[in-house]
Amino acid sequence: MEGSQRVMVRCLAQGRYPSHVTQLLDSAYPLDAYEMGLQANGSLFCHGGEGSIAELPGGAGIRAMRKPFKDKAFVRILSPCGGWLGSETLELLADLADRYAEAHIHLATGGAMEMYLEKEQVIPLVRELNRHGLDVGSTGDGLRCIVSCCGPIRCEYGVVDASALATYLGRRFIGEQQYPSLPHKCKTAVSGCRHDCSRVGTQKDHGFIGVFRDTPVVDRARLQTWVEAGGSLAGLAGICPAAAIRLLPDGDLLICGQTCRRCMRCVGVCPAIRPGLDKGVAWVVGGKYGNRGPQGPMPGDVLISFLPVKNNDFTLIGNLYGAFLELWDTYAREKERIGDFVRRFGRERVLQELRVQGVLPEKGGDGVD
Amino acid sequence: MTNALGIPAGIMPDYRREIPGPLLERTGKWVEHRHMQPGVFRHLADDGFECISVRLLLPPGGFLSSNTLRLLARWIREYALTGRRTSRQGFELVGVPPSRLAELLDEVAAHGLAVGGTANSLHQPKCCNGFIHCQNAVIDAPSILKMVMDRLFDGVQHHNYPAGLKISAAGCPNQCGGGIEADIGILGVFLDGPRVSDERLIRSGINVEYLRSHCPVGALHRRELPDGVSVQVDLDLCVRCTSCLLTAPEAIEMGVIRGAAIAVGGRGGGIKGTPRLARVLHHYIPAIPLNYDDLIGKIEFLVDRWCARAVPGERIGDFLDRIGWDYFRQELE
Repeated sequence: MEGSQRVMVRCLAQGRYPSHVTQLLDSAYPLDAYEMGLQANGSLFCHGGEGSIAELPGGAGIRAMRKPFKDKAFVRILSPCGGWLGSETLELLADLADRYAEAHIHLATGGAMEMYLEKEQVIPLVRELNRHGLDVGSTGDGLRCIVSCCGPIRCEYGVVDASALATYLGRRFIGEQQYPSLPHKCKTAVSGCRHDCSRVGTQKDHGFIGVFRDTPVVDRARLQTWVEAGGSLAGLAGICPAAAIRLLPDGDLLICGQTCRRCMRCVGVCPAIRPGLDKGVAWVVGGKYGNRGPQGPMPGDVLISFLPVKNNDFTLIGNLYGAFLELWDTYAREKERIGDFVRRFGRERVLQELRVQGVLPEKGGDGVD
Repeated sequence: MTNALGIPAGIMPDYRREIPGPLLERTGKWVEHRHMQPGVFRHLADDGFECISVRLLLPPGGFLSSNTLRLLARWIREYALTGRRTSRQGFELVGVPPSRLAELLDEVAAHGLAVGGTANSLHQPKCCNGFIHCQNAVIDAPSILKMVMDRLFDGVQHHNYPAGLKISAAGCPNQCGGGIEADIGILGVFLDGPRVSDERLIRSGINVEYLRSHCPVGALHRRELPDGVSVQVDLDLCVRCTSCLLTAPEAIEMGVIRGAAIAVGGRGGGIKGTPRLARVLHHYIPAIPLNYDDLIGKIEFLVDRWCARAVPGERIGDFLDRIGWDYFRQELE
């Protein structure tokens, strides 16, 4: 097909918003396939291409295409946690995409980065990635790449160091990410606070959200400055859903620890209020988007509301994470996502099993709530 | 496999090497952030250090050519400390010195990329591969979002919406694009159920009981035929989840009536209550590629109503909760 015949693709290259077609035109992607797909109202990719690369248990796969196009291999590259990508890594990826792949990269919604290439190029590309400290994984019925928000590295809300925890889990469970051997996929994320930018509660099967147990801390001096700059104390008290903010006559405020829900709405409005100091994570399992399985799409359930984190020691969290994966692997039906498993098996029974195994301390023990 | 490095090599990338010292050593030291203009915000550390971030809006689907990657790398070298991909397929340049901000914004505009999508504006759209790489796609999510964003483009560059607005599109019931969790989600749906070719199913040798076990609602009934066993789909029970199709792609295909649904009011964060999934407002809109006027019109109507009548800070789902979903449905008619 001549470039001039690509009517729809040309149409998509116009317009005010940046276009995906412009990016693909700048690469070796076969845009004719996209044009044909658009005209036929159906993808030119077809089922049956899932056969993997012999040397790689996970991290790469094949997507089958209708003739005359050739089947394509893809590799899924694990991203640095927090999404951090410096100039050197970006240049490396650009270089490798040019040399081995179709000269473009796909930032997948799950957090990995994909490159499309010829099947023969997969192993050379993976070796090159390994030489530069990157690796592939996150396909099939295994642990998918572990992602996190930017966390306290560039965010004042971050209660736990999300990137550090996610990298800890990623290192400890790298085998599960590269050798798919679980009942179904398991997506994992860590969010620094209850804003949940990495979507632990909805998109991810298994993850941790930074929370605190004591009351938010008020910085009196900063509060004074904030009020002088036009901040409204009455407005601040009004946004609290639990009415836990009490205004004192001398212009001070008091947060009632018993009614406070630790929702951090006041923290978001007033920079003088900071998250509390007794920090930890909530353990959330079972979210999923897909309309598959008995439950369909569902938000996750909180398994444990507070696991303490001190001095970035994540051992307990890692132990529980691994023990839960094993429990799921043992009791799950075939192709049962964690959300469906927990609803069928029962949250209490999961906790009981973990306590019997000795991984999970009794309620109140070791600061676990 | 015996070789020097081993495959797979078991390397988890280290995020620390992507972050320069001035940023890394201020971990946990941030006090507040302010929005300077749409797409540009400034974090302030307790020692007075300022970190300006510029949020670039990337094309829908997260496709970047290698030349664009090099461009981003050059901007980081010249104007910023580092960069990060956001969880919505956008990209942020982090640590831009105030003196170089105007220059950077000019250069971004000159290269056809947009800056915006912070706070009370239209955020970076998020979607799956669509027809570009995926065999499951019912609708082509990237082209739909591209045309939606063209029409609503002004929304990314002002902060005048009542609250943030996130639009996502997912091409099929697998929901990789996360339409089910966005303020406005565009979902690829099948209206008619799967069709089974008895002959091909018997020939493929797939265990029928194994196939039946994949149906979440038990809609596949065993069907004895003279030359083997097949399945019959109970279309009243079927939820069009495509599980059977993925188990037996040789013998089952989905029907031809396919299009988009619009779901509204999803939310991920747990600040204002709990995370929740979006509710379907329009259950079927035809989505023949590039003929998306009907779909875009409905989204525009929704956004207009929300802008006109929502109270400040009210996300679109909260707005519909307050005025009533049924009441709003009447307005649609």
